[in-house]
Amino acid sequence: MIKISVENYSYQNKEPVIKNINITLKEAKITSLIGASGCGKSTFLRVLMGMETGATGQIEFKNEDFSFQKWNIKQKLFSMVPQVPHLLPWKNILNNIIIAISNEKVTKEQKSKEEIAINALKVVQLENHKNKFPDEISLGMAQRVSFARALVLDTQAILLDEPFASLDAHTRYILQEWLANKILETNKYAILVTHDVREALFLSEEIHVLKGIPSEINKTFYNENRNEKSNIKTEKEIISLIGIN
Amino acid sequence: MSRISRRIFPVLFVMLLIFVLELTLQKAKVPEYIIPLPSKVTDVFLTDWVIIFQNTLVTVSEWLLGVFLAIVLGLFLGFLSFKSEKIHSILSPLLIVSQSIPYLVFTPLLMIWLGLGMAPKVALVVLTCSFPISLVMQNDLIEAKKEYHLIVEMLQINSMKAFFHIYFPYSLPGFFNALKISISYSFGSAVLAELMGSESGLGIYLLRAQATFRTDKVIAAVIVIIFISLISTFFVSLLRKKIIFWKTAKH
Repeated sequence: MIKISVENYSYQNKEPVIKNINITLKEAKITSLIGASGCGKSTFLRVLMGMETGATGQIEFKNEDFSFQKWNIKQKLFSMVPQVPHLLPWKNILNNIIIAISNEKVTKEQKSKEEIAINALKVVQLENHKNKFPDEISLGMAQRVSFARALVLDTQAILLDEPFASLDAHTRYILQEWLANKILETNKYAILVTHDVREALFLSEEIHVLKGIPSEINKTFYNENRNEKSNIKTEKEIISLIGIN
Repeated sequence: MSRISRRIFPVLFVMLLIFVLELTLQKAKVPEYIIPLPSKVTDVFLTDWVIIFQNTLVTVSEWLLGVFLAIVLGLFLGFLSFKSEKIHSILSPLLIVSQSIPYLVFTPLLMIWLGLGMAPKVALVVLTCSFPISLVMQNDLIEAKKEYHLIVEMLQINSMKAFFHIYFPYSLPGFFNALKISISYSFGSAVLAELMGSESGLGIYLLRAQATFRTDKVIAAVIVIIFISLISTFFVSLLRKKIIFWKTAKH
C-alpha cells in the first residue's frame, strides 16, 4: 500500500493549487483522479514525480515515511506515462527504451541494456517492432512504448497522465483493457489522471473527484463492480459533480 | 518522365543554348573582350587548367578551413548560450544583429591585421559562417529543451546524456540548414576577399584576367566559382539526408 497525503502545494509560493489530497494506492490496482481540465490533476502528478518541489505532506510506503519537503526529481517511487509519449524520432523503439535504463540497473540485474529493454518490450508485446522508428508505429503503439519506458525505471507506481486522451475510440478501448491487465500482471501501483468518467469507471475501483480552487478531493467513489450497468448512475453523478469549468 | 530524363533535359537545354550562342556570336562578330565565344572559354579550361586548378586549390583550402573553424565556433557559441542563461542574454541579441552585417566590409581591416595570405580570408569565412550556425543552434537547443525536458526529468537522464542523445540530435536539421546557406555564400566571400588583395587564389586569377581584358578567362573563373558553390550545397544536402534519416513523428 502507498499512502499519499499532500497537505498543500502552491505554485512558486503563490496561491495554493492543491490541498488535502489523501489517497491510498493498492497493489495491482488503478486509482483514478478525475476532474475538469486545469483542476490541478497534472500538478499533483508532477508533485509526486518530484518535478514540483515545495509541497507539504508525506508519502508512506512499507513502513517508511517520505516527507515532501525532501522529495525531488531523484525519487524512485513513481514513474510516469505522459499524455504524449514524446519518443525520440532519431532512435528506434529499442533505443527509446534503452535511454531510460540506468547503469545501476545494469549492474544490479547483470543484464545488458538491450536485454532489459527487450524484456520490457515483451511485456508490452512490441518486441517484434523493436527496430522500427517512432514514425513507423501508431500512436497506440507509441503509448505502449511509453509504458515500457516507465517500466524499466523500476518504480513502485506508475502515474498515467491521460494516456488515452489522444487516441481514437477503438484503440482507446483496447488499450484501456490492456493497461488494466498489465498493471495486474506487473503488480504495480497506478494512478490514472483523466477527465473521462467512463474511463475511470472502467479502469478503477476507487475514483477521487477533484474540485475547487485550490483543488481538493470532493468525493470518493468506490466502484467495486467495474464495467457494469449500474455504473451509469455513478457516471451521471460524477459528471454533475465535476460540472462545467 | 523518368528520373534520369528529368535530369538530362535541363543539361541538354543548356548545351543547346550554348550552341546557339556560339553560332550567333560567330555571325554577329561581337568583339571577344565583350562576349567571348563559348568555345574560347572551353579553350581556357584546356590550356589554363593547371593555373586554374592551383588557384582554386588555394581558395578552396581557405574556404574549407574557414568553414571547419566556423562550425566549431558556431557549435561552441550555440552550446554556451544554451547552457548559461546569462551568456544567452548577452549573446542572443548580438547574434541577431550579426545577421545584418555585411562582413565583406571587414576585409580591408582583416588584411591590415592579418596580411595578404590565407589568414584574412579564413577569418572572413569564419565570420560569415559561424554566426548563422550559432544562432540556429542556440534557438534549436533551447527549443529542444522545451520539447523534451519533461522526458529528461521523468526518465532521470543526466545532462550530458540528455545533450548528446536528445538536444543535439534535435538541433541537427537546423544546423544543416544554416550550413547549407552559409557554405556557398562564404565561398563567394573568400573569392571577393582575394579580389581585394592576395597572393594567389581564384580571386587573383579573376583580377589578372580582368586587367588584361581576357573576358574568356573571367568567365572560366566565374564558372568554377558557381560550380564549387553548387557542389558544396549539394554535398551538404546529401550529408543532411544521410545523417538526418528520421522523420518527425506526431508522437
